[in-house]
Amino acid sequence: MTDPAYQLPRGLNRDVIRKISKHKKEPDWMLEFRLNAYKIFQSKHKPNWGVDLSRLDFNDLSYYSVAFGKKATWSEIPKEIKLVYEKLGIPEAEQKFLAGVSTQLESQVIYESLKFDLERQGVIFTDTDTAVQKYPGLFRKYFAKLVPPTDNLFAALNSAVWSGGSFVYVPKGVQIKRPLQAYFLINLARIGQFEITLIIVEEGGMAHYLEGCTAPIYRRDSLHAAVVEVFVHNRARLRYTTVQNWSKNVYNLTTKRARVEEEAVMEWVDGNIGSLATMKYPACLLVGKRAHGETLSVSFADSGQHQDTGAKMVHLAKKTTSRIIAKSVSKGTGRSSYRGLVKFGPQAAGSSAFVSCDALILNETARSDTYPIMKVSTKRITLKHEATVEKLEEKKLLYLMSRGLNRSQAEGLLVSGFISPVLKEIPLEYASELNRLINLKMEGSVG
Amino acid sequence: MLKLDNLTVKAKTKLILENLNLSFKAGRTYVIMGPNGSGKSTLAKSIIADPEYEYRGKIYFKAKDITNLSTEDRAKLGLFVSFQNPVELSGISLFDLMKLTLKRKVRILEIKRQIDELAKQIDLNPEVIKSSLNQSVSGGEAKKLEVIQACLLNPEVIVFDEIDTGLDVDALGQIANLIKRRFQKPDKTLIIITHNSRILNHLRPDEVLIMKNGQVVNQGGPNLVKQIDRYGFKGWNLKAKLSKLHF
Repeated sequence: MTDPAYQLPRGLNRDVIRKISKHKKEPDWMLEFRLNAYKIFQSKHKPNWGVDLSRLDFNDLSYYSVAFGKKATWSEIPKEIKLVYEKLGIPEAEQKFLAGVSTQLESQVIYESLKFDLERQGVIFTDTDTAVQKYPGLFRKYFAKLVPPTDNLFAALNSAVWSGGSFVYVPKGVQIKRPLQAYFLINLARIGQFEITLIIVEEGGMAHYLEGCTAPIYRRDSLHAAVVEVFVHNRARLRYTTVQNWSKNVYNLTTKRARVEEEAVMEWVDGNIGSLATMKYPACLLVGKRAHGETLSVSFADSGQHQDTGAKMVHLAKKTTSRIIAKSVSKGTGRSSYRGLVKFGPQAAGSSAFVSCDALILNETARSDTYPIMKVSTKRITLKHEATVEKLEEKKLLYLMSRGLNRSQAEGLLVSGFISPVLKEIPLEYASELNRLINLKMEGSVG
Repeated sequence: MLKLDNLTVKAKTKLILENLNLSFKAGRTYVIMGPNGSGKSTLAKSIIADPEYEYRGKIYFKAKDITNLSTEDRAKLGLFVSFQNPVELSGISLFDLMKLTLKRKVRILEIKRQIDELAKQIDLNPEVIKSSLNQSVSGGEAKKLEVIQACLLNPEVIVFDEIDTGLDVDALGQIANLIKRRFQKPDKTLIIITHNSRILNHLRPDEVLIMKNGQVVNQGGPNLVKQIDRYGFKGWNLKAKLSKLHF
């Protein structure tokens, strides 16, 4: 069991926020921002839609802890943490595929490495706390501009108590071929994690950001309420891939939003496997002509889980295009909901959107819902929506079993096939991890 | 090799097969013919324990009682039954399925090599192999995919249910030749369910079984096929007339 070097007692008040800010040696403006956000948080209520949040008690969480001081090298990372990483295949992954790794434990980035050639090109890949101190001008220009504390209850909470996260800056014309990767994990129960990730890709730049979450130790309810803000400038591209596998006692309530300028491309690839309940709808604000937004989402809801996921595409300029592909699997008493918004503003003439959401239900007790919303304020747009719900067919299972597969292998293969259109878009090692996690779930061997 | 002992098969309340007693030997090829609804496909499905039916009686494989064995256990023992209408498996390729089925037995690269080789032999488009199994394929391609699976799994009892339906002359010849090479062997039992004697020009059967109303009404040599081609199943008393040909 990890013994945190610094941990605040449970509960949330102005004093707690002051302590967080002081411990981080933050500038005054950030403390003010936090206190203001806390005021907004107090004025808001839990949403009366989405997942059941009645058991979530904000005063029963500790909002800040630092497990270890900052470490420079891999060899200094404690053994039990490494074991978790090993199971996830991170060290090899780092050697082979990755341009940089930053791993967040509880609330602070403890290990990060950035390859030399990226630094030379002017790329910044660091933790958000460092960015506040080291790049104040750049940081303040973008911070909380897309997801202000007023946006929703969890964004307000995040703004008040945030800690850690990644900061990525890709200069004009710089194209990063290898994915930037960050793994997050909570391994102390009852500790909320409230990171902020801020990504800026300048004109003509390109990057792929990857994050994965896993929570190896389970205790009482935990909360993960992150904010992700992405700015994709003219003709730039960003792909943001998430594999979410929080333990089944974590509320995962995350706000992700991207601003996409002229001819820029933003892609959210979102895999939700874990957590008790997730509410997450990555958004693209298509503000520039011919901007393109895309969300590919896979969610798996096992017994006791509710995955309320989807996407938002807001077309605010001419000839913008978007595509949402969502696949959900519900097993046992699990519940998956697709919640999506496609909106065409008055300036969006000549734009088009395509939505496809498919649900696979494995048992009679599993549940799937679809809540698509379309708002159109202009003519001359194209909007296509497809939705399917299917059950695991006995005929298909029989076919596979007649070729020698056992029932759980056959079910696993059908589920893999169902989500394969999204898996194909995920880098191989993430896709195989996601597939492995899903197969473990199909075998019922993980909680 | 395979023995059905007093096998009775019901679907809900409907009796489909009644007190079947059949014995299939190694090294022999059997043909099962009969009018639509005579119970041929149900017989095939009962060999792989399709849970859609209710069974009474016993099934033996190499003298071992397999009556209570599951579908996958029977497949693992060496029983293969092709599907008349193979199910569409979206996102799963032939390779994905075979990789999972044969894992720990055959190396992955070897599976791939064998698939490519077999596809070449029966002139199956490589694109069909890479894409979702049985999805948007022609009738002929679906049958070829079944035969390739049978070859890879290398079973001892092979039941092809209407594997020749909807095939053009060339495809029929290719498939039949492959079946002949792979499954007409001393250690294998080949059972062909068909409506059409065309395939039997390539695969000469040792024994012909005629089914009607859930029973085997006659059993005999290849000459039976000629009689059926001439007279059909209707309009004459099979049992009485064919019994003269029985040997």
